[in-house]
Amino acid sequence: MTENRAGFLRRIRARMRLAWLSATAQAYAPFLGLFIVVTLAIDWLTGFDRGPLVAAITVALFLVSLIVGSVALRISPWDASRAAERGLGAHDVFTTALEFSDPDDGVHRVIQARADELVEKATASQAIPIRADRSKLRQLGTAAALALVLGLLPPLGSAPALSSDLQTALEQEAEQLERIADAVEDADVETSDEIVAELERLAEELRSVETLEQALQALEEAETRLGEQVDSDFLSQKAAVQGLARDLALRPLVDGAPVDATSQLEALASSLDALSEPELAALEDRLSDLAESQAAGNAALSTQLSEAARALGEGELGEAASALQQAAVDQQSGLDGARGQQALTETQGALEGARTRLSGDGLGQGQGGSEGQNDGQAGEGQGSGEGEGQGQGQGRGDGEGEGEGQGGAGQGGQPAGGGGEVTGVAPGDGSAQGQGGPGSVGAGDGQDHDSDVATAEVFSPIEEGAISDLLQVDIEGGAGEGDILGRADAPTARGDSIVPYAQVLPEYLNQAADALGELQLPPSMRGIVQTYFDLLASDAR
Amino acid sequence: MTTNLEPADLDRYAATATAIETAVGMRIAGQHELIRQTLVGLLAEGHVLLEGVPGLGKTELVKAFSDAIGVRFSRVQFTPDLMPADIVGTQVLEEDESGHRRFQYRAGPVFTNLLLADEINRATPKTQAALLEAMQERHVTVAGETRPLPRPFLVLATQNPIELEGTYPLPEAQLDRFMFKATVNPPTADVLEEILRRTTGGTFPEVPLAADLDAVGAMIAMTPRLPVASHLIRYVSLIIQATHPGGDNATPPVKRYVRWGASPRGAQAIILAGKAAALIEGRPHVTAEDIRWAAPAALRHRLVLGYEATAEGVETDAIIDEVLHSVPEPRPEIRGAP
Repeated sequence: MTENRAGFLRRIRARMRLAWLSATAQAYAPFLGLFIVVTLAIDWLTGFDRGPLVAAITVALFLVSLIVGSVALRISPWDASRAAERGLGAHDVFTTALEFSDPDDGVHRVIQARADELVEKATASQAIPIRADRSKLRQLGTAAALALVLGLLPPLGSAPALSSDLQTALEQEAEQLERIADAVEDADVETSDEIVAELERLAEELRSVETLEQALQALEEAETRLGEQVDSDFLSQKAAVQGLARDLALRPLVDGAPVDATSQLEALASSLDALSEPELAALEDRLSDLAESQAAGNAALSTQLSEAARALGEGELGEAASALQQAAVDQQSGLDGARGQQALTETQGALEGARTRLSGDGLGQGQGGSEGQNDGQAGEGQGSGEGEGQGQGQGRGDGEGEGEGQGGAGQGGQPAGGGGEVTGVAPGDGSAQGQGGPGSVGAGDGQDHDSDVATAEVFSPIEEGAISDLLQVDIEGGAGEGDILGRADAPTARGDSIVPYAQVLPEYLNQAADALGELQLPPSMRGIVQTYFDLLASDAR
Repeated sequence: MTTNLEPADLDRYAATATAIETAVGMRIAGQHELIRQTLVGLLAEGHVLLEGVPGLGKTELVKAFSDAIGVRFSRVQFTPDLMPADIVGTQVLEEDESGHRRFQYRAGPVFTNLLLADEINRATPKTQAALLEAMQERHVTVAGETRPLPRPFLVLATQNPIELEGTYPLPEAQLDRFMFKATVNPPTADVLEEILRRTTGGTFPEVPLAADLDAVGAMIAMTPRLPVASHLIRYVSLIIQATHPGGDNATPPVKRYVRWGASPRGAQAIILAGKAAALIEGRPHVTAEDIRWAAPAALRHRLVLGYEATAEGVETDAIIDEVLHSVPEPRPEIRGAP
């Protein structure tokens, strides 16, 4: 065999290894794909959770086996010759030349010459083509597609993936909780640490939940945990603290002292010596009354106040001062406790609001409202507000409020209470109060009331010194006009109490901003309020 | 034993074969396969059994071959009263000029190069046996004296597949002596048109001398010397084995329809025919394609089908095709290899 032909057969062998690798891969790839699909299916069905790893290891082993197998493949000269002549369509030239190589035989020489001649024109790639079995490749492709689908599917029995809307809502709620946590931290109340920790943990949990139910459950559990920290007599404490503060603000214990109760008690303790006997007697009574009012909500304070009253009655000003000092401390302690408890309840309210928004109804209403129609009739925002009118004047009258819902902007219609109209039915002195009637169904969207905002007039209590409206009262059963009995701050059609909406809107906006900054406003309502005033502001412009 | 052969010799053999086929084709329209099989039989020194209805040009085929290679031609119409002596010749009592009488051997028509034995199945078995013995031994013995037949010697025997009444179908052992059984198919419309054009114009196409006897003799001598690779011999063995219903690689149709498979003579016929085909193509060796080409003609008269095949109308050629399909051509047992 010539060196040229020997080299050709070596190249044929190398090419055959590659062809073997390719063919074997194609032969077993569908089974491999099936195995992977089954593995991933088991993973999907049972939560085996090792399917991808098993699949990756199997593929790696398969590839390694292929490479090792192709290297270890035994290819005889006859195999290489036969493969080459079949691939080239050379009709047994190489195998015959391999077998018949007697240089003394003329036929053998011709056979050798023909084989060498063929080698000159042929290449190994022509002789051993690498073929792709389309059916096998299709099977492999199908298996790969199935594996991909199974890999992407969540485990069977798990909740479906969160929708983008819900994910966004959860993220918003988490951010809102973090803002509340920051506010609580800034407030620095007794329960700040617990509340902040709870809210931060809850925010993280909301970001990692897989279902809406999990989010709602987390909110509810957090709400419950916070609720467990609220004292059962919180309302009594709050009432006692606030009642004392209000009482002392209206009727200070010491003239010129700060309005807060603690300061007043401290100031009183230091100024007992300056009081006269009658003042001390009055103070004794006052302290006794205050002690009685604090008995339910702040027993410690009540005791100290009683002790102070008793000491005053006995002329023991020193003891009284000491008791008052201790009362100041107890008042401050009660105030701090009430604030902490208040923070807990307000945080509870915030969590409840978040739960409401995340629940199906909350989301559904928001979406429905955005579909409002221009005609103001088909808007889906549901106004349920209550209008409130106020009238003050002489005589008695029943105010009748008229509410008008404002729909749209994805929120339920917000009633804007119209002014109550005083319709006194009998003469007399006093103040007339108009009670707003039920708000009408909110309808329409922002465009629907563009012109209303620009031109609307609203009742605004007149300032002192301005001219109020005349209150005309018809006497029931009378034939003529009623007598004008006096002036009243009433939302009648005349006078300065009816003003353009745009005139009062800035003040409304300021007050709304202040209200939004306070913790007492449930977070669930903040967005509604903010949206409402944003709409009004934009309409007014 | 070494053989002298140059590439030019192969080209010359291929040219000679082409010339012979072309010359015969000038007389015989269509039937290219039949012409090739006859030439292969001539070069491999095998005899050919022709099967086809009368009037398909079998006699003209033999005549054309004799004209193309310039050899003697005889035709014997086999009849029931034909005697062996009518084939191989006989001793006749002759009187010379001096009045002396003696037996003189008068050679029969078998002493020729190309012999057409027409409707061989109409002769008695005894007469058939005489011819078949001459075909096998390539000599005849009359009155104790053996007389060799001339070279080349090719018998083309015909069997009429119709009018079987009163015939003596050749027994399997006798059929085995034919290398090929060629089926002469009726001409297609185009071929028939060509036949009419050639034969109804008052003149008959002349067949030129395409090769002399020496050239043909050289090809006949070279044919058995062409080598056959071992895997092809193995291939032929597997094919033959697959025709036996009890063979390891017998297919269900073979097991169901074949009573007796091909004999070793069938394998020899395939190999020799393959060699002759290779030489005709100008190749110095046999290929698997040669084997597959030769197998049907070499096997179709060697398979004995059972009554199931007759009942179900299964043809021998269908069985052979199935066998060739079931026996894979030798190839590397390596996945991905051609």
